[in-house]
Amino acid sequence: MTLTQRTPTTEEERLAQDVQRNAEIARRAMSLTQQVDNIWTNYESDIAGLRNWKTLEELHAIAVPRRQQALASIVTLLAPTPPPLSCSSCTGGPVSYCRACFEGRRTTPTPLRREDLVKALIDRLGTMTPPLGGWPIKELADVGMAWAAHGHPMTQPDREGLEKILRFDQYHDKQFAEQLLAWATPTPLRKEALESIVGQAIGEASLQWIPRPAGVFDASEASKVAQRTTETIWAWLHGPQEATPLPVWCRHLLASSNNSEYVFEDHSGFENCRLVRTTEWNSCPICAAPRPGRTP
Amino acid sequence: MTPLRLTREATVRAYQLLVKEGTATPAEREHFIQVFNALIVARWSMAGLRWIKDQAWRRA
Repeated sequence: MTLTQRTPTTEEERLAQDVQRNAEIARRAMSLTQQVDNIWTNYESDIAGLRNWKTLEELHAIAVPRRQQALASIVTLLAPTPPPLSCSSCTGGPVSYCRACFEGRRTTPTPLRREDLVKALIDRLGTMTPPLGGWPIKELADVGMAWAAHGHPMTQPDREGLEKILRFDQYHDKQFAEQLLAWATPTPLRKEALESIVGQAIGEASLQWIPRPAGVFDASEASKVAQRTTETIWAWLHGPQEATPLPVWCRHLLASSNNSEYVFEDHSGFENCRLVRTTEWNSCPICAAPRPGRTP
Repeated sequence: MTPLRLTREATVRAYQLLVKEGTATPAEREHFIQVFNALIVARWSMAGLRWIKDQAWRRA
């Protein structure tokens, strides 16, 4: 019997890329940690070698500027001001470093504004029938703002945050070390995690929604609200170029929440098979509509 | 930097021997200097250092 190598699936390839990327991030973080240690060790040795001070005031006056210099070196090392990059695939506008991959990526030059998110949510949810209490736009915008504050993957390292940590905490405190590591460790922002948070927020909000006279608020309706809200927040975070939806297939097969694959629509009769892999499908099994962008 | 610990009272006495009286032996002098350098690295405030100095000069 001959064993043939199985072709990895898209999901496996994605996981492999994630593992590789995380290993690279860990390697860089270790290297940065070592360099920070070196700077601080040099500072300590420098101070330990002081012999000629006459009073404590004099020692303090000598040591403080050197400590400031060491801290400034750490800030410069960990949060360098990146030079403006020009992106060959766009018009050469400013790009920013990605905290997740440390590569320059094209970003939206405008800052994230809450009013833009609120407007996008109103536009996106406005096409659905609202509950009697109206859409909890403010609460949903809060979720988006909190998510963005948690660590926008397209922002530069937070230089001010680092300086604050260095200013107020003792270098050798465990808490400080943890804060520094937490700051330096990029937070992989997954759309699935955002969807989970939004789903929770919608679920809690929907408990307060007054059911329409027709009956109880449909859970699948809340699911669609969560999906639309997630997509809106994601598009707001990443700019329109990151949120290009998959082309429409048919009414049974819809783009998944991360726009990477098609899934069955809730009421297609295949709702228990929503997660079935449709990568190799060339036509819809219900209506035989051809897959967009691929010849059957 | 190796942490060197002294009680507050001992720190006051060390400052007396090192600066006020200047009678520390070379070995004591090296040790006390390292203690105060370590206090600086540990980010002792100037107020804390001044307390040591004041106490050292106030006491006999």
